[in-house]
Amino acid sequence: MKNFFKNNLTILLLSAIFVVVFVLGGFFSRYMTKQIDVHQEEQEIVEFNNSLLYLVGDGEKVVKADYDQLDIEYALPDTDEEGYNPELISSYKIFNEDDEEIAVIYIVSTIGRFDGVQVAYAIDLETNAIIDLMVISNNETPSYFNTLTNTFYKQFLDKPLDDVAFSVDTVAGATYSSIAFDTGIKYARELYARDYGFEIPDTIYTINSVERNYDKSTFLAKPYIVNITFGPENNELVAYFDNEFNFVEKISGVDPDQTYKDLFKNNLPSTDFIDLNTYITEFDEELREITIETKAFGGKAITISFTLNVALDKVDSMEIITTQTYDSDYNEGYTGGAVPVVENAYRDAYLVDGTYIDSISSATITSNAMIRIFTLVDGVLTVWNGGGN
Amino acid sequence: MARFAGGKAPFLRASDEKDYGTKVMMLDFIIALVPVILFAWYKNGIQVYIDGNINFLEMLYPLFFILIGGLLSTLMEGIFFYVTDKENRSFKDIKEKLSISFAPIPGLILALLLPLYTPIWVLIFAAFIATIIGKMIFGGFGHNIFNPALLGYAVVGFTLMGVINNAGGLFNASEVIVDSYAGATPLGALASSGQINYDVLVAPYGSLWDFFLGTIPGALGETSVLAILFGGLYLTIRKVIKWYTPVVYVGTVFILSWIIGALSGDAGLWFPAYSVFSGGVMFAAVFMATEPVTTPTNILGKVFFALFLGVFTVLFRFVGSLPEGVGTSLIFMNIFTLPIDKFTGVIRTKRFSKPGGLYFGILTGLLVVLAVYTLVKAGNMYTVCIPFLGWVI
Repeated sequence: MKNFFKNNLTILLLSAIFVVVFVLGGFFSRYMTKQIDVHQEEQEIVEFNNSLLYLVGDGEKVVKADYDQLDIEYALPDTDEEGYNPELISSYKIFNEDDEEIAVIYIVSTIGRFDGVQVAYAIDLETNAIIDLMVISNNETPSYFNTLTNTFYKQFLDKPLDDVAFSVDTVAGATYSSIAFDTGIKYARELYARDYGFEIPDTIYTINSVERNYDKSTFLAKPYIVNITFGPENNELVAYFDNEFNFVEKISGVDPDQTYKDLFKNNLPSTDFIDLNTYITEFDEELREITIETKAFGGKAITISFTLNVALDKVDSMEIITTQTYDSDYNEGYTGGAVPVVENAYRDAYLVDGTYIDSISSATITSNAMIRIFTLVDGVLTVWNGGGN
Repeated sequence: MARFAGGKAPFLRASDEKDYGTKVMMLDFIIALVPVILFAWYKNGIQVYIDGNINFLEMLYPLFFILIGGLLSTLMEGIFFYVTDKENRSFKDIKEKLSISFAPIPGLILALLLPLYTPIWVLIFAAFIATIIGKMIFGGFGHNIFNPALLGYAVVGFTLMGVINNAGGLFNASEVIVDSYAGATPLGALASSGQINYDVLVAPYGSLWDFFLGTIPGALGETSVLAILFGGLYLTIRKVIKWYTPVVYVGTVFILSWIIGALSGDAGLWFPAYSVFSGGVMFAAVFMATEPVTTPTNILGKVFFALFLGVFTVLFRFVGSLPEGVGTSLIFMNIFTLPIDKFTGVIRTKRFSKPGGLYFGILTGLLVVLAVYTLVKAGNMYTVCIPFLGWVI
């Protein structure tokens, strides 16, 4: 053995060095390759932090905060009945060069058409206002989501948190996505109130009643009569509102300022005094035609033009325009005929003796929409002349 | 009395001087590489470490990688000597042989040419190809036809580039990620964009001054023109290389690139400067086109070699699909070293009398044809000429 090592010392030494280089070098180069991913992640964090600083528009340092989730429920965009809790994904504190905290950023996930509208909301600690927002990710339908343009996003710039009507206007075509943002800023405000002791101003108002305006000469422009008590002084207000829930005209009481008008506009749709999704769109007294529209499955409209009798107390005939599709999205259990078989069935039963079919199997939403329209037309006929089918 | 060298290159005019033989020449070569190695370490390790983007181990890696390259080729050559010479297997014998055979050079150059994230086993394979296949199989130092390091580089480039890409691919991934170069080297930008445009080729990396200093993405040893010039100056002063080989080579690439830029509508000097400062032109000019074994030995041969090398580099870069072109053109020209040596040797002795004039004509004619073809193709002159053709007709 001794001779073996003595005779082969050179090759053993060379081989040993070679093996050491192969093994240790291999580990080292493998480690270097792994580090690429590490640097990639680090760089992503740096770039993300830079984007947060850019979002705030000021600041020197970003520190991840450890603020907790807050349990508050908001209505799902496609239904007023179910609620959900937005998710606080993460939060960041922004410090200036003097190491003073100047802003906080909450990244909140809300639900639009689909779950996962993640948006960063930056709040200025000095002005208590939303500085700006940044969309992190979303699963919305791009063609709809992209209709949210700068005009929509500008609503969030420097938006004060103490605004009584703390809400944003939705965009037609991307209503659910818009609502996701609206819910997001409201949730961010609640988080800010908890984490920074901000007091959310009381929105002191009570909607006492919402009734339909059945006056033939005004109901198209002013379809709703709303009774509200608002403000710290409990001001009473009875006023007309249009189909978009804009304040139109005071009937009695105290005029509200714009803040309260915005507040009413934002909150009237969620009241349940009457069915606000069904409204009269046209009335021609000479032709005795009244047109009523409602939203049915998927927010798609059903519009019915009723022709009334001479006494204006009964429906003689009706013409239905429907945008329902009964497609694969409609209801998998639906096995009936093609559009507008459901609508026609309701029409036929109603014209015979004023009957509302209870419901057609697996076409509940369309059925309910038809019932709402008939209920409204009967309500109109009853108020006018004690009529109805 | 005049003395003539015989046998295999290298031949040193100063070989009579004390301690001025192959051993010293190799030492000079390594010394000339020191600025390049140190800059590569600084740029890819120290500077990035100082900026806080990498840790201490990562900072050491570029130097480790380069030194390991040299060590590997030395080890392989040592093992080869051991296996093939049963009479002289002692450590002392092998050490003596290694000291006169430029043993660490192929590995060092390989490491300077390969991406930093090349797995070590790939480096070992490349060193094996370079040292054993490219050098020792041919009979060792002085007998090899191809530049050993380039052969290793080419084989790995053709066979294992996928592995290198999987391991990081970029010349220095962490540096590229941090500086948001999007992974493209300047020559990669030219290959992908196809535009001769300062804003596309130079501006994303700073200015031509950055190209000169070497603070641009690229292989470890290729980026710093300044460091390479230091090495080249040292080798020239020490008479290890002839100054005119790099000058003729770089000059050829410069002039042809200038003409190509002008034909493409931008006659600015920035483009030829970009062309010689990016990729491996400068490194090859100083450390590979001057290699004593695989390039011609006489002055005229060196000049013709450098001229052809320059034309082929431009041809492969602008007409072929290779973004770099330097390594391929060098290996290609290695094949013609012997005929060029012989032809130019005859030209030098016979001048323009037969057959010297014929050889000169052949070499010059080939060179002109290749250069014109390169310019016509690269400058898209067919298209440029169409209006004139219509006018003539």
